[in-house]
Amino acid sequence: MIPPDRTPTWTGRVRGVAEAALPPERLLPDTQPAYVASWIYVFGVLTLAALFVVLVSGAVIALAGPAWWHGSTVGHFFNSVHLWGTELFFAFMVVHLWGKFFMAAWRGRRAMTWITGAVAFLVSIATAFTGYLTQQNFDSQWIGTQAKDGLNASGVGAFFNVLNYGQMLLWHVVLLPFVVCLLIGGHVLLVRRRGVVPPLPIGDEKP
Amino acid sequence: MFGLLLSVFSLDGRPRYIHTGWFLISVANLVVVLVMLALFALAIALPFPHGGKDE
Repeated sequence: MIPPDRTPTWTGRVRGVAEAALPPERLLPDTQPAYVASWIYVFGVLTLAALFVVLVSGAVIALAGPAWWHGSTVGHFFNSVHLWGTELFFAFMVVHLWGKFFMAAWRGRRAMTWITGAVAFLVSIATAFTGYLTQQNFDSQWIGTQAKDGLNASGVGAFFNVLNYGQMLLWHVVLLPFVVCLLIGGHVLLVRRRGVVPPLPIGDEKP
Repeated sequence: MFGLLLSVFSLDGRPRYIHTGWFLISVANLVVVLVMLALFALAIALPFPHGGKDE
């Protein structure tokens, strides 16, 4: 294998950069520092688990169409799994956010880790919002008509019309989940690169 | 027992709200927020099993 700094191909150079940034033992570590043995460090992976449930249940709903749950008990079951998976996803993510905020988790060159997490949270809210708009019931009509004026006043109505069901459905099942997964994937890779943030020091210790 | 729980957490009836001045929140949302705060406090306070070994 040609060393990455001598390879003429862009794929070889990308491999070199990736291996330097995330060597295998850092990408998939088999040990963690002692301070990670705390329940507050569990909520990140709980958020990922809930996201997995949301994606799988959403894929099942997509197979039969979004109106499936209105007339089928099986569809209703998967719709409920999708809803409660989302509720748990947000609950775990907010507790994770609280823990990291009070830990000042942006310390030690972890600013991008914090920023990608915060932006993933905001994009997740937009994703859940478009989900409420695609329920195909009076609730989604009510939410759409209540939201349109505020969103149109902000100027986004030109390309984000909450009363356009087809557009909202595609934002919900394609565009926004793609961005959420991209951000969360980047967030996890940054956690691997910089390591899990240690607790705040006690007394005169410097972070 | 189930009927009692249903009467407290029923999602089918009219929602109940707590409204004081500018502050307005549904009881269901307030319960969720309180549960999350309790979860946060427990996650900090409870010891982690097999924890404490420096690796």
